[in-house]
Amino acid sequence: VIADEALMLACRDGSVEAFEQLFGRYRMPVWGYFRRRLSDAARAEDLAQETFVAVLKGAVRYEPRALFRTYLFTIAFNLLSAERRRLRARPAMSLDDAALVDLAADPHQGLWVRQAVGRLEEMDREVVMLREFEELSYAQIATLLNLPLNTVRSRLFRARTELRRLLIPETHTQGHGS
Amino acid sequence: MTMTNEHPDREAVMAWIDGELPVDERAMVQTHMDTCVACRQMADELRGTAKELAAWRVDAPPASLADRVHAAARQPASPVVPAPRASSALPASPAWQRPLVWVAALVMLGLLTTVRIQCAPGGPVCARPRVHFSFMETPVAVPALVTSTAPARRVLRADALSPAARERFESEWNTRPHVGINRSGQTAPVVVVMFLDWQCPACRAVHGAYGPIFEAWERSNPGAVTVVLKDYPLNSSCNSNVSVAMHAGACAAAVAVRLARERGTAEPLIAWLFANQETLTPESVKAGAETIAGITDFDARYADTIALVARDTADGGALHVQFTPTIYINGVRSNGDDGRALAPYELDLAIQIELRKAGVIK
Repeated sequence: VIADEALMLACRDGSVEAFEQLFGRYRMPVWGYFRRRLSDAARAEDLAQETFVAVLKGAVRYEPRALFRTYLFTIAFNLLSAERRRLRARPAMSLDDAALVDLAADPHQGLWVRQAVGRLEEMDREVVMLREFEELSYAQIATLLNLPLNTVRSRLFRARTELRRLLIPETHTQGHGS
Repeated sequence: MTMTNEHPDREAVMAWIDGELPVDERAMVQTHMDTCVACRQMADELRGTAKELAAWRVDAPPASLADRVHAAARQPASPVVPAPRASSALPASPAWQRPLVWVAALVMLGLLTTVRIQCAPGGPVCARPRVHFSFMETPVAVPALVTSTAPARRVLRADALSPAARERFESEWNTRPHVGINRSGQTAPVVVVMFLDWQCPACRAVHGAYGPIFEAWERSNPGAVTVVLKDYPLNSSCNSNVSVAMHAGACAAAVAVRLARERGTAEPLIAWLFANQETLTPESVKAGAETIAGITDFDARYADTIALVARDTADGGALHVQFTPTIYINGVRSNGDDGRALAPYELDLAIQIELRKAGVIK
């Protein structure tokens, strides 16, 4: 299996097939990244497309300083941040936009998980989602969110503890102690 | 790593599960875990949470994503596609010869456009039957939103949910508080009251998405579900519960739809209002009402009709409506605290639950 970074270097040198291999590997993760964070499936698709186009555009300047996975999700993260700024800046953003519905969401399970994740503090939510769904390492999350590594760890622990409380309220974690 | 009463701290246990501890700490925690029941239990709980999260799956990406990205990658005329090179040490071609540079240039020029499948008028997806529900005092159509710009959408019913998810929804639904809703004289076992603003994008979405669910119930259990639409324009000029004129054309739209209903032309007018939501003004609504719905006495009827709208907004004020759409099903507010409306399959399930309570279905 060719490493992502090698494919990206080939991509930098003009290989469309290398790009398509990368697309095949990351199509679902990138789509899932946006789909879980945006209620509008069409926008999720637009941004997923923009992410891969940005990979293409940036290929000529690519240097393997970081893992490709981190590089890719940094692009996705920046696009999502811009999208959120755009949504917040919309003049009609108040009563009705808060009620925008997730009509195209997959109903199979997940409803309660989505609600529970939605109740987390914003940065805790981002940390736990990057870990659980995008499967990034603590260091990758720290780079992406520009947080100290220890903060990532403590936020992740807090988020998971809170999720456990929300998802399985009848079970209580037993405390430590002698 | 800190140790408390010989236990590793809980974050360290989590990091151990995640494979994020340095080698020396990993060995130390591993040794402890082999003998400590409490820490193993905590580790199992953390793993259990991760397992729960895995339930949040997403559909496969639409095929159009691959088409769009592949189109971007293949866009430049490149009859000879270079094979992947094993090493980047090979001499690079001049920048202008690289396909990716062409792609980037085309992207910057905006030549890679998005193509969306649109619902063709009269096509199999669009041709939904008209079903009539009660709208205030007068029966009117609650049309599925069928316009040339409405994307084709799969209608998901409650059976798309797993039995466990249905059970959880039902138990949560049954704990929601009831409010006293004037059923407007409706006797149907399930009365759905929707506070809407014709200029609100979420209302448009709900209107289009819920229509097929209501239609399905009307087909299987005629008369069992009644939909009552209440006007709640987000505009302070006709709604004393809001402080700004957020939607300039919303009051006029509420009046126009009521007048169109009298003429049996509400359906095309609603479709037109939804299609032009972003640019509605009182003047454009009035003009549209005349062109689309044949309303020639808009000005003369405005004062009387807006008084009826005010009656609805007063109901909304009494219920502390904070969002549009706000939807009550037999007096249970279906929106979440953040305003999120039910997905169609959830609406379907809520109707099922209420019909079961009423003994209409088993």
